[in-house]
Amino acid sequence: MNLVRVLVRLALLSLAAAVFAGFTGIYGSLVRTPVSNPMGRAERQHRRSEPEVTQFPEFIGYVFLFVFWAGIGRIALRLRLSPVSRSEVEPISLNLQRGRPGRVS
Amino acid sequence: MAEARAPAKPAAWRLKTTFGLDAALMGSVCALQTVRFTGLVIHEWLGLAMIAMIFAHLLFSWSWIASLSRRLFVQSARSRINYLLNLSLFAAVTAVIFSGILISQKAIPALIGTNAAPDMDWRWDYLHDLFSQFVVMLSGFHLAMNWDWVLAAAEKLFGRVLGARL
Repeated sequence: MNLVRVLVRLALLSLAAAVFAGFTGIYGSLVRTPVSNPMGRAERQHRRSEPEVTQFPEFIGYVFLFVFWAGIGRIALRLRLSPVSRSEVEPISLNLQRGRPGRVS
Repeated sequence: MAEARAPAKPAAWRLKTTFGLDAALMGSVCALQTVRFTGLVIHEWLGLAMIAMIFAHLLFSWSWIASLSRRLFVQSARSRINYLLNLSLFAAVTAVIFSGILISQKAIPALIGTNAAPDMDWRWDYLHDLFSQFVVMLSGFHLAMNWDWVLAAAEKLFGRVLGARL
């Protein structure tokens, strides 16, 4: 029964993904993209297959970018989407003692 | 006594799995941005692995998705914005994976047993880059929206000291 439920949910998610993929296909066929320079194209056409550890700082840079957007999101949420005053805020219950984590999303 | 304690184990397992999966997703989103660091082979296979990770992430959050989908218009503004944000993130991730499959040079040719196309489809390459930037931004917002859950889960898993520092 549980397996059937999971399969139905997976089918629904796949259907939603297929719809979005269809929209992406339509968008991609309609939109005009800027022409990149030949040097950039040549570099992108022949990307290395192996990892380059020396590029680790680039990865850290993207972690910082991710944290930056999360920070912006936090500021926006506190300033605009949380009209309840701090004194009224109640902690989120995870319901961990009852056996199921009550996740927000 | 044993029966009363039994439900705690699945809850702990579920929390650990969800937290680990979310951490892996966050790391993968950042790693997938830098093809030079991961190399093209890892980049493409990790991108395909993201499909399974995202489906698992959504299955774990299914009760929230189902309840909000049913009563979206009677929810608070915050819940509606959160729902819209998550839907946009799902759409952006789908677009990135779809365009990634179209320009794949290693993983997809290996899976279907063909050679990679000699010329890159530059339109899809451009859109792949564009949508991936949206994914980083929307993932950051997604983390911000669920920050309280992350703190509570981290505190539960790693103790109150780490939770308090965060």
